[in-house]
Amino acid sequence: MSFSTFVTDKNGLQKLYEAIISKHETFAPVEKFGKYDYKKVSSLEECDPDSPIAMTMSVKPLFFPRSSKIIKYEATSAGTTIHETEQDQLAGPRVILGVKHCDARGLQVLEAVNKWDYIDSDFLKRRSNTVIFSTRCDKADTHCFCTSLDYDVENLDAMDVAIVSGPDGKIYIQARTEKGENFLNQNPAPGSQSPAPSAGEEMKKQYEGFMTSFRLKMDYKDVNEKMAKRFDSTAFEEATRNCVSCNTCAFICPTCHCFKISDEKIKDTGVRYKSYDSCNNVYFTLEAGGHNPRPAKYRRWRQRSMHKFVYYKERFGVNLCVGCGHCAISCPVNISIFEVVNHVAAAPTEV
Amino acid sequence: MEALLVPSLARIDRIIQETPDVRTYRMKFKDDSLMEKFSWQPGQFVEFSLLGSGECTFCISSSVTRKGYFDCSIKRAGIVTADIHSDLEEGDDVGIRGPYGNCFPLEDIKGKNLLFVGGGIGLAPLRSLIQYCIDNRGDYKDFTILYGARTSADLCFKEEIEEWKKNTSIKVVLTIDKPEDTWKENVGVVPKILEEVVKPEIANTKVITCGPPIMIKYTLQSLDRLGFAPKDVITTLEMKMQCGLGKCGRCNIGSTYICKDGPVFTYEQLKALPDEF
Amino acid sequence: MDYSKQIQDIASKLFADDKIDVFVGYCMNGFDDNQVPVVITDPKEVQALVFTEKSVFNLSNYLKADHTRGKRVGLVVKGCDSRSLNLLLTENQVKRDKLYIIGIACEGVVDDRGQKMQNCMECIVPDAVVFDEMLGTPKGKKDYIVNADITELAAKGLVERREYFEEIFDNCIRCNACRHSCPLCYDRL
Repeated sequence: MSFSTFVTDKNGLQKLYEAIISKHETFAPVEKFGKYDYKKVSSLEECDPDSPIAMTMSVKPLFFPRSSKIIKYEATSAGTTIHETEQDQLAGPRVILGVKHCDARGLQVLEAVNKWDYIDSDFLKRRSNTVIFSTRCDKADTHCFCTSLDYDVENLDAMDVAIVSGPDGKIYIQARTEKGENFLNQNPAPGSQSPAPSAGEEMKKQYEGFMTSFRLKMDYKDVNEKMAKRFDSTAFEEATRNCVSCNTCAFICPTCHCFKISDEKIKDTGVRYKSYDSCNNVYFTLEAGGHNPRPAKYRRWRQRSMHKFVYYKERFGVNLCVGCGHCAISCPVNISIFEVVNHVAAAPTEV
Repeated sequence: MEALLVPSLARIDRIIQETPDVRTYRMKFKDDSLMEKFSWQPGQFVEFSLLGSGECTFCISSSVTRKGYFDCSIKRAGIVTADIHSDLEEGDDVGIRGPYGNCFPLEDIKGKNLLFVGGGIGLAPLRSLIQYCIDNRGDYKDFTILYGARTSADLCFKEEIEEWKKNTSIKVVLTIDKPEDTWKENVGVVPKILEEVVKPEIANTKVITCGPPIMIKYTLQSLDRLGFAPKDVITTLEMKMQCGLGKCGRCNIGSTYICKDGPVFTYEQLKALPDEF
Repeated sequence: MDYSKQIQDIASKLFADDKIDVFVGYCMNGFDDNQVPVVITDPKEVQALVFTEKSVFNLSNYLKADHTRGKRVGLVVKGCDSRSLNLLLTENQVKRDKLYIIGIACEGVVDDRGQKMQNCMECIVPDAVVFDEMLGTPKGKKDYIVNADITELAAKGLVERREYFEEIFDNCIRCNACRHSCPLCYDRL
């Protein structure tokens, strides 16, 4: 199936956004205290689909909520009853505007773990009911390193509809999936059909500019192998010494998916929650008997970086990192997983 | 996802005080049709929840061949197990999800000599397989159980061990760490007794072992010395788990999820994993 | 406010005299002009130490980390940091005789846009209150000023105050990073 591309200008795109918001349940980045988070919007003025990448939270919680109720229960002398909670409102058909490319790829990467063996049908259903509008970046931020990781400048398949800005202020609206194509057919984009924008010489130049705007670069193919050989390296300890184990990197990461199950009880009734957790947390693997396989901070960091760059790749064929750099932006002491991995990969294999 | 995490209610039928800090909870699902359909293999585990305290992972310590109920043997160790010991009474309801994980390699051990080596609460996962093998005794050759604990009071499943002893087709060797006045059997740690008293036949024998980390460490060394091939030594891992579905990431060691690819591993497989358990 | 050289000298002397095992200070983050905390165990690395008005993070937080527990530690504290350190000492979380404290008579730190921090404008204890050695000229205690925002909030009614906090916490993602990066939230849950 070939997908259509429409060429328009800034105004045309605005009109399309407005039309979508008025007709569909729409989520988009909404600013608050300088940070953007994806919220339901009812007009284009409330949100900014072009929000700066460094200030925008991941879209992941719309697919994998930060905290969700598993069951509610009552335990009285008459017996115990369990009520399944209504499985949330996030599953209906919806559109998300202004998703960053790395973030959209994060969802693609997460599909693998949610699809193997037991199937997380909620996650998959939310994804299949969502049309993602994503703008292709044309400039890297300080901590971005997506081009180092499985990135292909032509491959925008993680998005349903890609918004690509071309030279002379032209904007190309491209369907990238069948879902996106159908959506654009039902919600016609303004402007005219046009060939895919990558053809033009000027476009190419523009993306060369994008590719060279990255401060952080590494050859990830090499890194996977190098990391695998350096499990016992002291480099993990050296690179993460000033980490304060605050775990915020995992909570804002578009690909981290560890969670915990906890109970909350008031008198005879209670709720069981599923909520985010992080392998950097000292309690993550602490067993009841007091044994902890990863008691030291560098061991937990090793798990975190090896899981992202070695284990997940081995198991599911893709890196569990999309290079968005949000971990470094949020880190109180500026640790970037990029630098940890780079440091380890450069360390000697013999200890 | 959340739907997969919803437990079913089971009722505690009987509580057996095995040792001062271990109790066996015998239960069945409140829904009879669920109980009939509930089937598991030796070595699999369930997520056992005391609603309000939390969810814990326990292996099923009875065999599917004993119909109509299943057992979990629980040692008082952490917060939830302490609540289980102090709050749960016969007739109470608990939540159960499962069974999860792989099982002991039932096909591989058919027609072989079996040597069970257990320590402390480590007999619980073995008991499921022992019962299964006793109920299919014809499928196996020699049958030896070596079981040790710190003191005679810490031996689990005492009644059942007496039954095993009466069974002439099973050799049972018991040991405790330090001598006691009334104790007439072996004294010494499990690996020592294994080498000095049991002296197992190597050929055509499968060893199934489980116990505290320190016992496992030395037992594996003894088995190595005795000449067992790593692929003939089978153990079951204890690791903190939460979802049991290969999703929550807690039991991830290397690219292995213990809750899906384990908890039963051969010594050969364990050697290939990073040392993080 | 640049004490980089002095701190480097003090740290190398402390290592040379075998008075400390670990030194906790600041260094450049390696890509822009902002700084990050650094935990030094190798005397050769002391040259990386810096201290300017960009040295923001409270280093007493590292006294609850694996690297420093039970060891002899040298560290740099500003006025505010020294007060949290003082609390840790009072509550017996660290031992005074294991610490070598370089106190700073602080002139206020700046955020990553180079603007002086709001808290520094209202700071009443700019000088370190506990130290073995003081850098800079002490300015003495200032009079307590009640923050304008707090006065405003305190004047509100119960319902409005609740609304205010709900508005603020609407953005909370419950990562608990605030707890982990707070030097005084030291309880191990």
